[in-house]
Amino acid sequence: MFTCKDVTETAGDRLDGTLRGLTGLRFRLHLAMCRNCRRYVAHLRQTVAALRALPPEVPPVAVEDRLLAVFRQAHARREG
Amino acid sequence: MSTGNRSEHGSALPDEVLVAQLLRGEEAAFRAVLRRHHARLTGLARALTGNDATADEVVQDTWLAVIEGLGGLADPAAFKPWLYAILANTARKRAARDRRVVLVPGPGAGEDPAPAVDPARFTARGFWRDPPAPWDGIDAERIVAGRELVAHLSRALDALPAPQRAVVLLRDVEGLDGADTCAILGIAPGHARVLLHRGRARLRAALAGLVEAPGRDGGGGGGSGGGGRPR
Repeated sequence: MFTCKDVTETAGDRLDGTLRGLTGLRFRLHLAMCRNCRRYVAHLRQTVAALRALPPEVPPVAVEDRLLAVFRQAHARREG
Repeated sequence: MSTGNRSEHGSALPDEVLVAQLLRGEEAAFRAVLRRHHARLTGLARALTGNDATADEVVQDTWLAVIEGLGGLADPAAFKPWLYAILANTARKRAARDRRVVLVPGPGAGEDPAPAVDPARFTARGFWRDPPAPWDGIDAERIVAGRELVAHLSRALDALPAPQRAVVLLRDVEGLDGADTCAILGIAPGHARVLLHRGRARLRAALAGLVEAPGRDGGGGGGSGGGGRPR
């Protein structure tokens, strides 16, 4: 019997497309019958999508300026 | 060739385009790459070294190595895995120098990892006793559009155990594939899978804690009834 608990332990594999064969089939069958698990999987999917869309923080100006100077010098050296 | 490209160096440009510009010495491209990756490199360096000051040095050394090594990058489309591999190598070298064992430890011998969801939320037979509440109107765009939710998710990410954080950062935040992630961190696929699984489950729970908070225990919403049986 593929339980709700089993769904929560394999939902990530499902999202990654690595849940195949009999387990994948049992997973899909369970989901077709269980609204709560559909919800769990949807939440997990949204969590991963939100992580993927997290805006990167901008680095401190001092760090950026310092590294840009290094970049400039390295390029000048290569060109020269 | 491109469909309505933005003229500024926004986050819209793919890495391989930025790499070509970097090779031509375009500073705006370097600034864009820095802005895109610096904070995330720092996040991974912290997970790998467990020390903020060391992490900052590792990231700085990584950028220096990137500037030097850019000309030798074989596949510009693989810039991101290349960048993170340099970071991980730099962190490893640094750890060896400091005689510290760093990076993602192997799974504990014979240790049963914590379940994704609190077992108390299931019946003895493994069905929901306390099912997830609906996230009304919440989706990924809403989450990242909401300052509070972004801060909450970022905090939850920072609070993950370092090995889980490292894998989640590479797989989900950066979108690298499993093979690159394992190569960068030097861990086996099965181990990476477990770490990713635990990390995602914790982050889902953290979002649920915020989103579901009002009336969470009142059995509110949707009439999910008592029984947790499927159907």
